[in-house]
This record gives sequence, structure tokens and C-alpha cells, in this order.
Amino acid sequence: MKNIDLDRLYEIAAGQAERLSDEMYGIAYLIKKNYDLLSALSDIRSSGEFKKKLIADLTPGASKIFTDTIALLVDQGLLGELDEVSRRFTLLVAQKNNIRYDELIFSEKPGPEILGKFYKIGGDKIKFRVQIDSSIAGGFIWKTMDGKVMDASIKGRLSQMREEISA
Amino acid sequence: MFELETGLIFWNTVSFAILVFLMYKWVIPPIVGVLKDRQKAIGDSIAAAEDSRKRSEAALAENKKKLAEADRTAKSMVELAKSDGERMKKEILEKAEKQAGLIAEKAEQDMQAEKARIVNEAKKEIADLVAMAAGRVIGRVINKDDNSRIIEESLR
Repeated sequence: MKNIDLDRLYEIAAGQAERLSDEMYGIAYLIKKNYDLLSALSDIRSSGEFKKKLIADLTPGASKIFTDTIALLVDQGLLGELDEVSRRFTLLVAQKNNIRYDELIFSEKPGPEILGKFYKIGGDKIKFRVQIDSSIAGGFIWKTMDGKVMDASIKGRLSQMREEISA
Repeated sequence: MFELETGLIFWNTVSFAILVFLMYKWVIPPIVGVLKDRQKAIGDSIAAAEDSRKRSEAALAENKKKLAEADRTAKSMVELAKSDGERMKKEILEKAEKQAGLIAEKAEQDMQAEKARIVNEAKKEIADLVAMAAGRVIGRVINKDDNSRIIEESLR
């Protein structure tokens, strides 16, 4: 992977670093989950301008620093590394702010009461990035920053049941 | 009539004596020599013949001995060939039995592996079907409250 100076990016983002981290995480997650979008952005026949516009259309109201960062990645041919850049930038922001960014995946949008329970467990030095994935059928998946996964989804339980039956 | 003439007798006697002397002196010795030579030659021939006979007998005995030896060798070779044949036959049979055993063992292993594969595949298919059916049913019956309850239970 080509180097991108994330410390410099953090300095430039200044007070918007956390927002930039969230925005990069959001678009990276969207691309990862959407094959057509991934194909369109990976297609070498697509121009850089097309890719920039496509991402801009998908992220209305995004910060300028986000738009500029995406433009930089596209121009340097690093758009394919967006997920990794986002992960490393999130780690940097987490380190600077002394906070954890964990990922929660639900089958439908959770209410504040449910999220409150997660914050109660995680403590005040945690921020959850919530994603909706209807394919997990119910329950949740908790992914921590250090790579640990707690799969309490219906899909995961069915998969576990399938493993046990076929064992 | 018969009358003795002494002169004639005398000369006859003298002549005979001279003749005898001459024969003894010059005729008899060569004849004796020839006879001796002849005797010697005959003796040599007899000895040679005897020697030849002895050698022939020795050769015959040797031949008989060799023949007997050859016969024994041939017999032992036949015995050896028979024993080798038996041994080879035994080895071939043992090898064939061993190979047959291995083939049977391999066939048994293959059969067990195939059986296990089929059972595993069947299990997997059943598991997939069960999971799919359960997923469909759960997807239909889970409402928001159920989902919240599931999440809360998982967090305990």
C-alpha cells in the first residue's frame, strides 16, 4: 500500500478529525457491502472525476475535508485502500481522543434504549458506529477496534446450529 | 646194400659242423636278433595295448564317474529347480494374498470414506435445509419487540 500521511491528515482535519473518521468509515462500509458500487469504483475505465462525483452523490452534506481526502485518494490511485485508510485513521483518532470506536450491526435501527444498554456496558470511552444489515435477521454483531467479534445475531446462531448439525 | 662209408660220414659230419658253426656264427644271431626284436616289439605292443586298455578302462571309469557326477548334478539341479519353483510359487501366492488383502483393505477404507462423505454431505444438506427453514420462519415471526428481547438477552 502506498503511504498516506495520516498524522498530517489529522492535523489538517483539526477539529473535524472525528467527523472525517466517521465519514470515511461510512463510505468504506457502504462500498464493502455494495458489490456494484465496489465494481464501479474499481473499474480502471472509470475516470477519477466520475468516481469523485459518485462518492459525492452518495455522501450529501459531507465535510469538505472528507471530499478533499476522497479526491486525494482517487488522484493517487488509493481509493481501493479506503477501507484500510479508514481503519488506520480511526485508530489514530481513537488514540488521540482516548476513545474506542466499536461497530454494532443490527437487522433494524435500534432504539435509544437498546443503544443505551450497549453504552452502559462499553463505558464512557466508547463510541459505537451503528450499521443496519437486514441479512443478520435479528440480534446484533459487536465488532471491537482490536478485531474481536461478538456474534449474537440470528444469522450467526443459525450458522452455529448448522455447524453443530453437520458436525 | 647199405654200407657205411666213413669218409663220407666224416665229411658230412665236418660239413655239418661247419654249417652249424657258420649258422651259429652268422645266421642264427641275426635271426635271433630279429626274433628278439620281434619279441620285444610284440611285448611292447602287448604292453602298449595293456596300457591302452588300462587307460581306456581308467577313462571309462572316469567317464562313468563323471556321468554319475553329472547325473547327481542334474538330479540336484532338478531338485533345486523344483525347490525354487515351490519357493517362487509360495512367494507369488503370498504376494498375491497380501496384495489381495491390501486391495480389500483399500476398498474397505474407500468405502468407509465414501460412506463418511455421503453422511457428512447429507448432514450438511440437512443442516442447510434446517437453517434455511428456521431462518425463513424466524424472519417471518420476529417482530421489533422480539428482536429487542433477543438483544437484551444476549447482553446479559
